[in-house]
Amino acid sequence: MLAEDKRSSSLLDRGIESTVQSLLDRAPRFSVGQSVGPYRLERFLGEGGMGVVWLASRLDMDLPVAIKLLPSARLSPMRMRRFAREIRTLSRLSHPFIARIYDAGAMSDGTPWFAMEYVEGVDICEYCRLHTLSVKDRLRLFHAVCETVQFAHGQEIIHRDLKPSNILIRSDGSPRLLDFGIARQLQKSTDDDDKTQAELRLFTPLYAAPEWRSEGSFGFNTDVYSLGIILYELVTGQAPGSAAGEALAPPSRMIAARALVDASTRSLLLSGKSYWRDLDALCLHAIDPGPARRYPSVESLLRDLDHLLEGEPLEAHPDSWRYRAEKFILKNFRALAFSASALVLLLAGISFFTAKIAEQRNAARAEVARTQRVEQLLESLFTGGDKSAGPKRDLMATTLLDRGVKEIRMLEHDPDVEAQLDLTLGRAYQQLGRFDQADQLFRRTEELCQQAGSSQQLNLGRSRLAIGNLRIDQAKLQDAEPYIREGIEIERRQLPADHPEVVEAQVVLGRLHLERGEYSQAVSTLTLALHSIPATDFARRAKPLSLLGDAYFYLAKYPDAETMYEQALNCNLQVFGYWHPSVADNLKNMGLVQAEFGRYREAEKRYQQALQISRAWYGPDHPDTADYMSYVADSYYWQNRIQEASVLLKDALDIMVKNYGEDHPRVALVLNQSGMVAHEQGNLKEAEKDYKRAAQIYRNIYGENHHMFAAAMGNLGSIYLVEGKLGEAEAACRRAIAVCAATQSPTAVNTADNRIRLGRVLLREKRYAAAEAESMAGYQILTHNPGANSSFLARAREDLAAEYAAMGKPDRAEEYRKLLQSSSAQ
Amino acid sequence: MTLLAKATIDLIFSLVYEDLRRLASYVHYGDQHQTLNTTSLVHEAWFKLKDSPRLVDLPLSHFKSIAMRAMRQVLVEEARRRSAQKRDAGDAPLFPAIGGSGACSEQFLALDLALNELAQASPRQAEIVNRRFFGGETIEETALALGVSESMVEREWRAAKAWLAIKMRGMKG
Repeated sequence: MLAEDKRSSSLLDRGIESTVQSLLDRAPRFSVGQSVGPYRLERFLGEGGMGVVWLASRLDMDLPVAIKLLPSARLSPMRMRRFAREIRTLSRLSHPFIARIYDAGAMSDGTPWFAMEYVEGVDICEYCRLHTLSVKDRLRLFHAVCETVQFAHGQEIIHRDLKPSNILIRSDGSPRLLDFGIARQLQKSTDDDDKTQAELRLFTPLYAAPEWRSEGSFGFNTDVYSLGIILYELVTGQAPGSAAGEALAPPSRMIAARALVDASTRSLLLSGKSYWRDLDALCLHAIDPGPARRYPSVESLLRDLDHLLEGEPLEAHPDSWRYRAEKFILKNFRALAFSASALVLLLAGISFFTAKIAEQRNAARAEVARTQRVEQLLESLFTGGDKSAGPKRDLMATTLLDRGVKEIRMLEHDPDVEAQLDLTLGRAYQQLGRFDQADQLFRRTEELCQQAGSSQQLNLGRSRLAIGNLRIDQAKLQDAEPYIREGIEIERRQLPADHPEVVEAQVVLGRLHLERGEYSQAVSTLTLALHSIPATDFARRAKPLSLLGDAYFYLAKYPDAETMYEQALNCNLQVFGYWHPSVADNLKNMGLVQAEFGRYREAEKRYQQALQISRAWYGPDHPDTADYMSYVADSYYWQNRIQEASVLLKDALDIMVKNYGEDHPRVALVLNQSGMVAHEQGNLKEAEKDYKRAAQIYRNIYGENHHMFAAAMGNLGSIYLVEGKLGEAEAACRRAIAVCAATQSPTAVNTADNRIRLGRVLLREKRYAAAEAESMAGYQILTHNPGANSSFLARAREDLAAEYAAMGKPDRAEEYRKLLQSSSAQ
Repeated sequence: MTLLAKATIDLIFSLVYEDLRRLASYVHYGDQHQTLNTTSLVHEAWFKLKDSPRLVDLPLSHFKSIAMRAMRQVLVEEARRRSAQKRDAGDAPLFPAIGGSGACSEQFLALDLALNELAQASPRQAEIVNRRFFGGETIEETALALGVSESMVEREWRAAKAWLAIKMRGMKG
């Protein structure tokens, strides 16, 4: 046994480290002469974050290639997908300066590989040093590199790991761009595996833009930053210091300093002073740590590079509209909550328009494809969930929009483009809650399309639908229907039945049913719409799924609701990844379902996740974040974690007040909840204060004749009763009843609840007959209503029993006592 | 399993793999990292994982056991691949690796099988091996995590090792 003990587990005793080492060591897996597909490995070239690279040759012709292999691919699904993506990316990029892909496959053990052009050359910085190129020549070479990157951007591919060692210059002086291993397509968000976890972000820190390095957000001008650093290195012969966030010295100063000790650098400084000033400006503009202040695109960097080479003034000028717009973005960076670079791209699109207008309208027409991209971005920007971004930010965003509207007017008449842009901008206004402006734009489009006649039928349908959709937001549900129906009809005539726009219209109709409380109709309309959307079209499925979830939820079909919400969540995860407000919203809804099932612990988990996402997306002080806090608090409340609920609600309240001021329904909502919690804690004074404040807010905003005011009065009545302030309690309950009966109906559940409340007050005042009348009236309404709250039913039975007992009717008292017992036994 | 849970495990799996790779290369180049012993490297890997934003709401113990499972799985897969390669190549090793990794992978696969059996026979001993070996925990840490005395962990650990050794020898034969 002792001997066993010793020998045993040499493995166990050596520890996991040695096992890891022997199993995953870097010993070459591949060997010279081994064949990979039709190639023969010849020489190990290097290893990067994404696999090993070998020089190889084709067996049947003497063509040298570089082969990239991904060892142990099966062990990391994420690597496997990335590798596949690199192959896809490269095969889409056919450009003389991008190393092209020849072939791809997998070895017998599953190791994937691809063969690409073998580039013999030296890295760009080394090349400039070796050939002692002049600054101008370096700029020209850099220009060619930028053009290549711009080409990739035109295919919506972002390299994300540009650095000198990935830019080789061949002996003929032409550059080759290598290693798209972590490149990413901008709009294809179905490439879901890129979670951009810090641990998996494989890049070279020195050349990586700060937002990409630290936050994982990226856009076209992530590459601009890397190019800027490379330019810096090219012209100064030295990469800028790597201290993050530190302001970098202008290249000219850097060179001047180096020239003191290094004679070869001196020659670089020979060109004129103003030239260097511009070069400094260009360089620093490209490597600005703030993505919003940087060149928005390689295209704009190229323009300034041209200007520099031609000796013209640069565009990187602080007085331009774009510069100001960028400042706006900078200020609202987190609030607008979209990848900064996408924002900049959007603006670049708009300013691109401006530039084109100045030239000629034909050019603008040729850009319709681009317009559509701008449109997509615009919409996704605002659909990103900025609906509640608070008044100040709205104002600024609308200023921007106003500008956009003006520019479209100057575009002369391409009615089709104009109509579509008007609709887009209108939707943007709608997202921001600027319903009047949206209305104006939609109706203007409608009118123009009507005048244009048959050529603009489709846009006419679109504008009708847009108006209908807007009416839903405006809560003008009756007005909405005819617009939506007409819109659908026109679109059906113009487009095939399963066209995305027709289906989308169907979804709008479903939403209308939902808002009108026609839940079964909503279910059938939305289900129908879903049938026409392919199962893999996650982006289009998310919305109808989530609406369908709502419909089931209101129909109290909770398991169905849960399924729908879960599917919607899956879609959104595919489209946006985890950290997105849509995902938070799905999670919240799933939490609501759990809460309906009484699984508060589960509900809490979902709410917490939603809260976490909201914090990351909107920041800690955003009203949506506060909303999710109050959901979490609600789940605490039901789990009897009153203290925690109370603390969380105080924070939520602060946030709401900070954002909306004292008088706002969202403030009142939190107050209401915090009153409930204080009540539960036995802190009656605090509860009374909260309810009073809430009632006050509703009165100020909606007037007294509103069901929200009634709800607050009802709560106040309850607390007065507990405090023993019976007179005040009675008055509050009577007010609540009157308002409920007038605004909802005399037989509404809310009316009944308040009558039961009043009954209890009267019972306490020993006015038994009056009490019995109220309790009974409320009770009867509730017994005929499936949506009744069981605690009010129980309360009514309890009170009725007491009232009949006091009125000398023991039989009836007994009847209700029994009912009470049997219901509580259930 | 919900998509979310699956995504979490997928992610942990991939992250563990990244860290193991990094770990292997550290160990390989050995001595420059004298201040960091290898156990602390394993720990470091986990701390990094633990701080991944997506994983924060898993309780640490739960998370750790997922990570350990993932790590074990990564190593088993790799060991399988290696021993398969070795079989294919006959007696002449095509891929000569430092430290005779072929032998190591056989041994490791045997250990994995034996551990599965141990988990049936004595779940606690298996848990202790998991924690000590895959988790790099000290006797003290394991005792704390399992809520038992150190001497108990010490005893069980030795018993488990002996048991595993016998099993593993049996498998070879």
